[in-house]
Parts: sequence; structure tokens; C-alpha cells
Amino acid sequence: MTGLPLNIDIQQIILHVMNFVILAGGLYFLLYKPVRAFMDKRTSKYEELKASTESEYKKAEELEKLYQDKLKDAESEIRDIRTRAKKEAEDIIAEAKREAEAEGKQILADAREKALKEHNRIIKSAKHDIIEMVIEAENKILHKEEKNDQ
Amino acid sequence: MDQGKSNRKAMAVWLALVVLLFIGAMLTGQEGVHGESVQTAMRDAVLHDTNKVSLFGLMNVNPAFISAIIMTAVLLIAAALIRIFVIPGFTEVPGRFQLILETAVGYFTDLAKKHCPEKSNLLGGYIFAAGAYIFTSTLFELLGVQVISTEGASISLPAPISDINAAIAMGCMSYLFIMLGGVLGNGVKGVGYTLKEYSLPISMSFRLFGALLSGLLVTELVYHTIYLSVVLPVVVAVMFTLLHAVIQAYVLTLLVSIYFGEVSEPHKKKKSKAVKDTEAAAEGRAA
Repeated sequence: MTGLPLNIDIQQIILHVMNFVILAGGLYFLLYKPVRAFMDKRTSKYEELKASTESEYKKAEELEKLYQDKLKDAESEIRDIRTRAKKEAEDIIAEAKREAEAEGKQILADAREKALKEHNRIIKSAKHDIIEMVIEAENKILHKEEKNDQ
Repeated sequence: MDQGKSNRKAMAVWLALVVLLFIGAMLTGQEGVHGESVQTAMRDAVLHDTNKVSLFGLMNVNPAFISAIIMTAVLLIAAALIRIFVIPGFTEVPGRFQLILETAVGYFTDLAKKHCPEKSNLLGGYIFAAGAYIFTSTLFELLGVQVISTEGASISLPAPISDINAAIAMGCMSYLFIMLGGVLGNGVKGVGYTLKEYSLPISMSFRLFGALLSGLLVTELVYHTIYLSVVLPVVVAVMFTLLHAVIQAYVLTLLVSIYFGEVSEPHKKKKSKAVKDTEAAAEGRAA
């Protein structure tokens, strides 16, 4: 088509459009799409790697927290055990002291009772001797009086 | 020591040769190229109406279309070879060539994702092809491929985009592609959003054409001045061509991305005045 200014030709324009459409399609399917697919695949692979690394890192952090908590628990448990043991030791000492005191008292009471019994036995035995001595003395007196009477 | 002496000798011979050739060129030079006036050369550079080339005997086309076909064939063959021999051997740690490919594809993908994340695959594919086409086809004029015109003259093939028909084709196609984005994103309303930017195909077409043409005209002017036609045209042509290749590929792909993202973005329904007033009152009460 002629007559347009600047030598504009519709046929030439259509030919150029057709040429570019062929080029664009060819470049898209032969170059752009495969290269982009490769790049996208690689990007998604590294993103997956990043995500899995982050998740592993989070897990490790959680584990660390767990162990820290356990460590804290263990420390407090140790403190409790120590306190309990100290208290038990104190109880044992107090019990032993109480027992020793009770035993001491018992020994003292037994000794007193024994002493009292001995005292009583001695008194009793002395009474018997005195009675015998009195009887003997009486007999002696009586015998002497009989002698005198005769 | 001997090597330095021989180097100096070789340099002296080379310089003498260059001076001799320069003097020879000055003495044998004539005004214009093949007697063609600068006006004719520049008019042909702008309009491409003097020299036509036969396309396989089917029709006569502008030389720029032959350039476009050659570039398309070269790019597609290169892409096919890369697809068959290079891409299957891609590694996770890229080599140099893989890095170049990934940088190119990654640049256009990022541009597309930035402006239209929902349809980045479609947009990325288009701007990748457009960028590659504009960049490589602009560099094509540096090769100076010769063809025979229908008049029987030998002509050097220009960059495809230096033909206004190719520039209009790129501009209009990009506009239609943006409209496609609008339709995909907003249905029929997308056409309306795109039509609001009615000046876009004209501005994109003439930006491409004007940028390429300016470089071409400057180079033509330099060629037509005999005293400037030694060494300088090479520098000027290469400099303008490289700059245009990069800048035009960047500008067009960026513009297409921005407008595509704008028209394909789902537009929220405008709220009626009554709803707005109610919301404002509610906000006021809450405050």
C-alpha cells in the first residue's frame, strides 16, 4: 500500500509483525522458558533447603531450651535432695539425742531403784540382826536373872 | 633489548603504512559516495524508498525486512543450538555462558515480576524477545551485509528498526500486547484502560525510529565529508549503534512492562459518595 507519508507500508508492517511473532515464539520456547524453568527449579530447591535448615534450626533451639529446662529442674532437684538430706540428718541427730537422754534417764531410774532396793534389803537385814541381837540380849538378861534367883 | 628494537621497527612500519594509506585516500577521494548526493543518501536512509530487495522472487521488500529475517534466523538457530547443546548441561554453579544466559533471562523475569507478578511468564517472554530483537538487530548494521537491490545496485543492509515500518510494527505490537494484558487482568474493561493510553503506539514507534535514525543520519553525514571519513565513522557508528542497542532495548521493554502492569492490575470498584460518607462518619466516630 502506497500513498502514506514517510513511505509507511501496511504490507511491510504486517511482514515485520509476522517476523517478530515467529521470533518471539521461537525464543520463548527454545530459550526463555527452559532457562527460566531451570532457574525456578534451582531457586525452589534452595528455598526448600533454606526452609528445612530453618526448621532444623528451630528444632535444635527447642531441644536446647528443653535441655536448659531439664538442667534447671535437675539443679532444683539437687537443692531439694540436699535440703531433705540435711533435714533427715538433723532429725536423726535429734532422735539420737532424745534416745540417749531417755536411756540416760532410764539408767538413772534403774540405778535409783536398785539403790532403794539395796537400802531396803540392808535395812531389812539390819532389822533382823537387831531383833536377833535384842532376843539374844533378852535371853542373856533372862538367863542372868534366873541365875541370880537361884 | 633486541625485542624492544624490533617492536619499535614494526610500529614505525605500521604508522608509515597508515600515513601512506591516509594520504592515498585523500588524494584519490571524490565527493560523495558513488556520486550520490548527501540529500539522496539521507532521504533513502529515512524513507527506504529508492532501493528495494526481492524476497525470494515473491515480492519486493525494504532492505530492513531482509535484515529482520536474517536476524530472526540467526537468533532462532542460536536459540535452537543453545537449547540442544547448552541447556541440558546446565549446572547449579553456572559457567560463563550459562551465567550470561541466566543474567539475561533473570533481568527480564525480574522486570516482569516487578511490574506484573501475576502474568510474569507471559510478560517476561515478550520483553525478552523484544529486548533480544531490538538489541541484536540494532547491532546488525555494524556487520554491513551487502545485498543486490532490484535496481542491481549493491546496498548495505540497515538495522531493521531504522525502517519506520519495523518501528511501527514493534510499537503497535507492543500496544496490542499491553491491551492483551488489560483484557487478561480486567476483561473488557482492560481494553478501555489501554485505550486511555492512545498515544502509546505512536510514541513507542517514533521513539524507536527516531533514535535509530538519528545515529544513522549522523553516520551518513560523517561519511559524506571526505575529511571525516577516515577512522571517525568507525568510532561514531560503533558508539551510536551500541548506545542505541542498549538504550532502545531497555526503554521499550521497561515501557511495555510498566504499561502492562498498570492495565493488567485488577482495578477496584469506585465507591459511591454515600458509601464514602458513611465510612468517613464511622471512622470519625471510632476516632
